[in-house]
Amino acid sequence: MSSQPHTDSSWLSETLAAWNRFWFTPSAPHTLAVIRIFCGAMLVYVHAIWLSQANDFFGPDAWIDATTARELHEFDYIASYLMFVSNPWLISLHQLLAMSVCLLMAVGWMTRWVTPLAWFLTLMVCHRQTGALFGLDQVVMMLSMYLMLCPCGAVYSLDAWLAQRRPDQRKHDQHDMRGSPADKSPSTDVGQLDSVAITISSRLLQLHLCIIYMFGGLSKMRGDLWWEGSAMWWSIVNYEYQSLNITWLGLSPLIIATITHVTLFWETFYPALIWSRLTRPLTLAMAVLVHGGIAVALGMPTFGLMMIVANMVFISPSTMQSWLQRINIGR
Amino acid sequence: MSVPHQPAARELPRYCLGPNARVAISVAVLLHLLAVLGEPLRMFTQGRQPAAPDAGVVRRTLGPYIDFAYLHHGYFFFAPNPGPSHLMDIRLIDADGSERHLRLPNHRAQWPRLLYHRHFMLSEFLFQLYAPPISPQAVTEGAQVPDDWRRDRALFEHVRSSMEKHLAVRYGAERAEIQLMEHRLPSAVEVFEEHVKLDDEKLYILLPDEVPLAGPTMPAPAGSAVGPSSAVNRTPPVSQPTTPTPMLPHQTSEEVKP
Repeated sequence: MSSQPHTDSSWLSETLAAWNRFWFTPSAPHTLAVIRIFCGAMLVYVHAIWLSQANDFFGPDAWIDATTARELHEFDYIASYLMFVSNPWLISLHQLLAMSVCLLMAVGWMTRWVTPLAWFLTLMVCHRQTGALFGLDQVVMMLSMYLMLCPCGAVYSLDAWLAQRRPDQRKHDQHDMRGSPADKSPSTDVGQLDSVAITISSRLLQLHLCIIYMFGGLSKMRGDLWWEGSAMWWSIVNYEYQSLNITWLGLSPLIIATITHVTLFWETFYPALIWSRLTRPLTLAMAVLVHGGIAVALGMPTFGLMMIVANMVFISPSTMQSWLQRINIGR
Repeated sequence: MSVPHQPAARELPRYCLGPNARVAISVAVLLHLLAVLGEPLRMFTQGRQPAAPDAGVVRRTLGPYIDFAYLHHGYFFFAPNPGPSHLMDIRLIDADGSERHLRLPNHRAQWPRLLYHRHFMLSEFLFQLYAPPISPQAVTEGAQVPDDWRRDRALFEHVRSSMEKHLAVRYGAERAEIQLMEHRLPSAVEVFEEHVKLDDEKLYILLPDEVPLAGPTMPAPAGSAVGPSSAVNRTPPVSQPTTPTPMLPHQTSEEVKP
């Protein structure tokens, strides 16, 4: 097999160009702004639930008390100041602060500051609450981690509304990693607010999602019940998960097996199917069906909703903007 | 005269970042993605043996970042197989010696659903730590297994003790005792032909906790009933390890609301 220097050089330069395009072409914030609103609102709800039984989860006689929590993480790098605090008033104040910060993240006020703070406060709670966490916590932490890296409050936010009221301030408010010259007009259209940071955050979120689905699918591939086609049955008859009784589906083993296998293959091949323009709409539609099913029937509406929200990162900013304009948002 | 279209790769896009910044960011995102990828890979390759060498290197190198950034997940949702749930069967003993029983999680007592799910996960967490009894012979033989078992058992008892203390305070009891319970999943034959309800008491199995005086107690897999050929009619494998123990007559699923 011959190797030609010219071809190798061409391949290398094209690969580098593709890498640069993938990561560093500025893009608009509209999609991540919508994800920010959902993520912030969900974080408010998550912290409200912790607050509702703060003493049970953080207090001196918590399910996992502070001493036990520290001992559980003696040999890893998980740490939180909440492992040293069990005063009910301090805990309640912490949760009220977290709820306020997350609310500001959702409405988009001082977004570049409150989003990292929302991530950090939630992270501290997650580190403290070993044992009580599940997929929802993983998803909202993932979303907030990437949202805090970019100007996701540039549109659909109080920040944007205030900037429109003060066009002369606009230039200073915009992020320093912009790809286009600062525009003094108050337009929030796609192309006017493009940012490299938005692209990097979007790409990281997209790739992280692909890793989640890939390992979700590969781990199912190890299970005989998924190959036999009965895994869906054993999922829907789990009483502790069930929120809608759909056991009648079991009257048709064909339907159960089909749903099982479609789920198995969709999840495993999601990392490939989502990147092609031809298969992306179908892949996203499947995501809505699968996660919608989990939300409605398997008792995890919060997790199901946030997985659908995370999948929105594959919707282009221009498409997101046009959808929202149809319902008179962001005109 | 039309200008031939240049391939996208040869176009010079307008990057606002210089080459040094792009290299620095590229290295950072690659390390981050390695951390995201490395943790499920480590879990995936970890069986009875330590994780594969490459996954181990990633863990040792990026461990502090993986842990602190909350990236230590395997993403094994309902995998490798959907299994039974695990609950806490709780005995509350009052100062006068009287007893109350409750079972958690309880979707009637814990609302909204997210609060219920937090309790459900606590119950499953305790099961993950569960170190069932082993035979006294194994303990005295001085093998590696008993050492591991002692460590695992101590951790399990430590966490369970914290939970029992919480329950005693929460429900105003003198003390509380937790025994883990497995909720076996019913087959299609049981549901459609025998009309077994999903919360039928016979599906709840207490997991053993007392160290026996003699004899091997490492359990054999439960679920010997085999239905018709359809996979959904087969009894699923229950979680290991378990030794099915019928519920005692006095144990009920009485709901004790906070």
